[in-house]
This record gives sequence, C-alpha cells and structure tokens, in this order.
Amino acid sequence: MKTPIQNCENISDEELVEKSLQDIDYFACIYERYEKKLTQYILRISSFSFEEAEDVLQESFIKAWKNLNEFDGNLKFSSWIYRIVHNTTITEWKKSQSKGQDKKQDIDEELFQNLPSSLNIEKEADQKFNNKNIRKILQLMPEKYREVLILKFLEEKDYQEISDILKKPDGTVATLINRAKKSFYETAKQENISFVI
Amino acid sequence: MNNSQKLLEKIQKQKISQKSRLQFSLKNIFFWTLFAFSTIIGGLSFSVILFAFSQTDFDLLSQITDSRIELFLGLLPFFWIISCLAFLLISFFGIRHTKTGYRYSPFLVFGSSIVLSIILGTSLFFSGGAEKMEQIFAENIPVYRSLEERKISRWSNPENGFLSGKILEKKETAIIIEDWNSKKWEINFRNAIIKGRIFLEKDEKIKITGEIFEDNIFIANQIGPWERTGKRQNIRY
Repeated sequence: MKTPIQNCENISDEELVEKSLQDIDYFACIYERYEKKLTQYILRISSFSFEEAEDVLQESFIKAWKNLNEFDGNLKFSSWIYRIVHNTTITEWKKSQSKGQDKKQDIDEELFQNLPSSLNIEKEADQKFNNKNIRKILQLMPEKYREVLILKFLEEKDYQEISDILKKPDGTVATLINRAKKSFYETAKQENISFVI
Repeated sequence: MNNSQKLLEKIQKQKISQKSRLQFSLKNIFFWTLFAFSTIIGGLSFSVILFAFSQTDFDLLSQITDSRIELFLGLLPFFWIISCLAFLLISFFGIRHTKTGYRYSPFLVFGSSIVLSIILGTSLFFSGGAEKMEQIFAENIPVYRSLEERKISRWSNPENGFLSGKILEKKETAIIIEDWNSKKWEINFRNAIIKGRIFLEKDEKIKITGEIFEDNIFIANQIGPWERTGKRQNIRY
C-alpha cells in the first residue's frame, strides 16, 4: 500500500530515505516531493519533451533506488538526487543526440525572468532587452557554463550544493560561475546584443 | 495511476534490488587505500631518487666537454622519476574517487600527495631504506638495471677515460687495480688529483679518469672513492 503523501509532509528527506529502506512506499513520497522540481530541472538542462523528461526522471529514481544505501549525511539529499538526475539527463541527452535526434537546446521561460536580475543586469537592461535574446545567448553558451548558471540562478542552489551536484570543488564552482557570467556577456557582445547601463 | 505509483510498480515488477551499504563502504575504502598505497609507493620512489642523486657522479659533467646533455640524461634515475610521478597521479585518482574527494581542490590533493611523498621519501633515504629497496629491485627484477650496474657500466669505459676497480697493490707512483671484468691495470697517479676520502690502499674501490697509455697502463688525471658519500662499498663481482 502506498503511504499517502500527507503522511510524509513533516518527515525530512533523510528520514524518508531511512524509512524507504524499510518500506518502499516511502520512496513514493520522495518521488512526489521532488517530481515537479526535478522534471523542471531536466527540461532546463536538456531539450527533452515533457514526456521524455518524465521518463528520464523515472530512470533517475530507479538509479536512486538502487543506490539508496550510498546516501548518508555527508551531503543534502536534494544535492544527491539532483546529482543523479543531472548525470542521467546528460547521459540520456547525449545518447539521444548521437542517435541523430539533434534538437537545439531550448531554455524555458522562467530562466529569462530570473537570470537577468541574478546577473545584475536587470537594472542595466532597457526596453530593447528581451527574453528572446537571453534565450539565444544561453543556447550559444558552453554546457559547463549553462549548467552552473541554471543551478545557481534558476534552481537557486548555493556553492556547496552545486559543488555536490556537479562533483566539483567549491572554488571551481565559483570560478565557473564567474566565467559563465563573463561568457554570457561576451556571447551577447558577439551576437550584437547590447545591455544599456 | 500517478508517476510515483508507476515507479514503485516498476521497481517491484522488475525486482530491482538495492546495492548494499557494505558495497559502497568497500568502494570508498578501496579508493582511500589506493590513495594511501600509492602515496607510500610514491614516497619510496622519491627516496630512491634521492639515493640515486646521492650516488650519481655529477662531477663527471665537468670532466667532459662534449655530449654533456647525453651524459646528464644518462645519469638521471628515469625509472624512479616516472614511478614517482605515476604513483602521485594514482594517489590523486584515488582520493578524487572517494565519496567526498571531489570537494578538495586538485592543487590541495596533488600538493598533499607530493608533500607526503617527500616527507616519507626523505625519511626512508636517511634511514637507508632507499638503498635497500633499490637492491631488492636489482636482485628480483631481471629487466631492472640497478644504479650500481649503471655506474659500473659508466666507469668501465677506459677508451673514453673512465676506469674503476679494486686496488690490488700500491707502488710508489702507481697502483695495480682489477676492474669489474677482472682485468688488471697499472694506474700511474704521478700527476693525478686525489679527490675525496681515499687512501690508495689494498682492497679500496676507486674510480679514475684519465687515458690509456698502453694496453694495461692507464695515466690517471683524477682518482676518487667508488662511493661518493663514504658509504659501505658493496660491489658485486
């Protein structure tokens, strides 16, 4: 019998993991808690359709189930599950691209609303500034920069969480974010997209 | 049926089992052990590098005017340098694959491996462990050419002015030595510079630079002890 979701509401992620190891129904609680957030994340870092993203999420949670004993208090559960979802998405995305399904990466609408302010360019932008241009810039940016921007400014993860998700040292994450910002502006410049101060 | 139920059904239907906690612990222990082991081996290699340098005749470089680079490269203990670097890389790989190894900066990880290897290597060198390890290698690994063998080879080259061996007899201005191929030589040391702690006594092992005068007569320019640091002389015939 599935544990109703309302029974899990006041239980922490870590406790749910412990309970899931005893009773698989609690694993459904974890899935439901993260389903929306992680589906959105998959859509942000890939160009999968909504249905494909759901499949990737299922695949990711199966991996999480297999490796549930690996999780301990060394990192936040959300970082751990994000890492699995991130890796599965990237792997599946690359697989789909090698199969010739060469979709251009699309960035969702929310990104354009959140990113400018986070990059401190909101005040700098005038009327000409528009979502279409930011979308274009992000599509042109290298994956390593795009993913940190998404994690930092859309998923609102701190440096430690990004470090745990991407398995990179804090310092590297900080450097990547700085470079990603520069890359963002440089790409904008190359594309003749100007931000008026 | 919602997605969470689909997931549970899939897990149960396919009987997807979980990896045990022990498996993850063992994996983590393996990589920590790999890190520790390779740091130790890196340290051992570093100690032999120190030993090799302590035994190397860098003064030879001043004796010859051409092909100095060739000689210098010939003097370097490449096997141990490569071994030291390889194990440093393995220790880096090991720690990076531990559970939280990714959190440390590569410079910190690499730097600590180097520092640990240097500390361990230097201690081993001064305790005589490096020499012992080098000997074990020379005795047990057929393809490995020991530092001593290389040194003998370099100093068994009278045509190019390098000769060595054990003193059999001392005369007024000459000594009789037996080289490592059991050939006897008369060494004229009238104009030679004697370098280092050497007494030109019977059974003393020496190395000589100079030139062949006749078939078994060698005019010495410089004579020095076989061992550079006054260590025990342990030539194998």
